[in-house]
Amino acid sequence: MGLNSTRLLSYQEILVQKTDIYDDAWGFYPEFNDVIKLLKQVKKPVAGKRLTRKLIAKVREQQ
Amino acid sequence: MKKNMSDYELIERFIKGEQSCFEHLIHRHKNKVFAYISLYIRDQALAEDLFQDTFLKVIQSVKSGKYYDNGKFISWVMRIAHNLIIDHFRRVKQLNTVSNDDYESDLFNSKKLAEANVEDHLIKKQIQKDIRKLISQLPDDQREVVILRHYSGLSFKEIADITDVSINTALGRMRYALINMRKMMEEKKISLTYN
Repeated sequence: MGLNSTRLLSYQEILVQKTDIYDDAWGFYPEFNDVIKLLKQVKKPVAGKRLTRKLIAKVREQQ
Repeated sequence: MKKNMSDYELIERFIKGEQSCFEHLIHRHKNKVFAYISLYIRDQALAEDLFQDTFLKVIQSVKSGKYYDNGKFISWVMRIAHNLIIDHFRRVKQLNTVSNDDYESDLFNSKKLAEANVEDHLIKKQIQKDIRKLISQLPDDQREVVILRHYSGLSFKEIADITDVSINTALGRMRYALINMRKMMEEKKISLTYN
């Protein structure tokens, strides 16, 4: 009919694995995009290899 | 194979003597736990100690039969980490020693920024310091939700379990936290000057 329409996405095509449904439902990302961007500037601290090795050595000692 | 096992299956096997199963649990959850502790404890060495103490306490509790699985292993581990953090601050308060701010050991000092120029590095450092300060100025319950969601990467369901509130309360706290942070950003004129 000459009308433009958006292709319907199937559920499998929507990437939801990394989405928290509550985050999504409450619309935090669209509403607080500026604040969340700021929060993301602080890199997530990670437990490095040295620390992990140290912990595993302690765990083995306990056995 | 262990990759597909649930936390509970790994614990069961660990109790039966499979040491490597606990090590697998450490690898699975270490960053969530470390991020949570690090955002509260700025002193890197102390954060590392509390991180290790958390997992050692988990082992003790598992071995003494104090852990009953209800599908919430990570919530339980985070609660142990939380209690160790509280114990630490209580001790510091009792000893009346220097405040945590005085440690000021910046986590980002250790990052190699060889390619970034000095100015960029300083701006980035300042912004990160400002953001951490904003987070630390939030009320406790709001700060906890922000850290658990954005830095430990937990779902709201897990956060609700850890903080012992309903999912709606956890979501409400997050909303207030974000509103408060925006207010503070405006008051202090903090903006995204570094990308």
